[in-house]
Amino acid sequence: MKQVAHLEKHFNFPVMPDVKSMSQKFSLRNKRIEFTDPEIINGLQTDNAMIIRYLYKKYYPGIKSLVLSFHHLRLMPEDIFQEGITRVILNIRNGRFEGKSSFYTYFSAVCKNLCLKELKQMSHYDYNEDVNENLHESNDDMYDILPLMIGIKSRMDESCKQIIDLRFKMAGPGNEIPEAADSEHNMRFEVIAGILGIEAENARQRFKRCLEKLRNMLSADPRWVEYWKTV
Amino acid sequence: MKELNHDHELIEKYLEGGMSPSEVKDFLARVNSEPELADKLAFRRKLEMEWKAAAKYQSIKKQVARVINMEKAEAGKNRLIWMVAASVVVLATIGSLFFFINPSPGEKNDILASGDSLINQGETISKPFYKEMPVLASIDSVRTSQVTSQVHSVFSENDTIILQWIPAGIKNHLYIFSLPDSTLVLSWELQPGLDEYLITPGSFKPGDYMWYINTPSRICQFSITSQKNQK
Repeated sequence: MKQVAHLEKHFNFPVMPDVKSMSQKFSLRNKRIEFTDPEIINGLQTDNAMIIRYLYKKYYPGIKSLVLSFHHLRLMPEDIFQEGITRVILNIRNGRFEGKSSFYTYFSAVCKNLCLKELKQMSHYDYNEDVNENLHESNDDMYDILPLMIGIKSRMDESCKQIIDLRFKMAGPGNEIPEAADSEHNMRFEVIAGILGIEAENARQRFKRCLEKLRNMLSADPRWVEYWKTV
Repeated sequence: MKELNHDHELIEKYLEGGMSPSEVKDFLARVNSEPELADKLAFRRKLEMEWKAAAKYQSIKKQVARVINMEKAEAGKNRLIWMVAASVVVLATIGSLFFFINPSPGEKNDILASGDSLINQGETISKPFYKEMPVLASIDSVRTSQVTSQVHSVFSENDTIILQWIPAGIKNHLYIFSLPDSTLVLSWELQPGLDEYLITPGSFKPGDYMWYINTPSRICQFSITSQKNQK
């Protein structure tokens, strides 16, 4: 544990205790260190910043070449890399990465498909013709709707975001959510009322009003309408 | 309207686990037989799922961006170190060329290392950057011994100016004398073990001069006046 603390200080980013062996491996800074695919996948599952850093060092040049090969000014290699790695992490954590191909093959396929989708959005490019087969093990279309939800969320007022987060049991940093063990169900309005210091009926009405607002904002967006048809 | 509210309340009660087993049974029976209610429940579940997914996605994307920015910052720092190292090499090369072209001033100019007892009779001034930097002159000929960046010192062309500087652990320093337009007049490198340097009369023609050590960050100004003018 001492060594982990030392490395944290040395590298200035958090080192997870459960990947101590990786930390030791990575601490040999001047040597070329390689992580195996299972180590990478384990690291991404356990929220390990070191692995993200490693992936950026190792794979960013390749992804950059891939993106630049499309010869389109609107495709930014760094944005594609960030979006790609975010989706890969979510896929791994949600059990959608089956490991049928190597990690890099999969990751570059995600990035390539992101480029193709961007191009499709900008023109009448036939996205489906070039879609990479390595992606068939996981459909990442579901992520396309998330930026829309983030945008709508950012336009909602704080009290609405707060009560929806509470109802869905989503703790912000430093906020302890009661009944967290019962993640199957939504938080009861009586509990929410206790946290916010209001009446349960007020909490119920506020949530109802905010949920209706969210529903209306989403339904007014053609991307959501299109998405909802496919669900 | 009442029915709509009732459906909403039923769905929320079901989702918070607030129904008794028999209520759950009845509710699910209704969901199976009423497509409208089934749609409402599906929509509500989808909203919750996407809300949570958006938060996760946003948090991972932020983390990825943070790690990549850190990596970029470090890469930038390393690049800076390399640039500084390269600049030092270039400057050192230019410096050595300069000395190769202009032989040691000690050989060519009237600058002498002196053990003369007169050295101890001058005035010592303190400069914060260079520590002790006394400027001494022979007792008979000196009109003023103050050479500071604030005071414009005036010497006669017959004065013997003795410079004494005892640097604390500093090596490879150059005394540089130039005209106010930065034209180099005289320069020499501090010799190891020698703390005093003597400029004999006639080394400088009457006029205004600047002198500094290494770089013109702290410039001292002085003038040499002709004997005729003084009379």
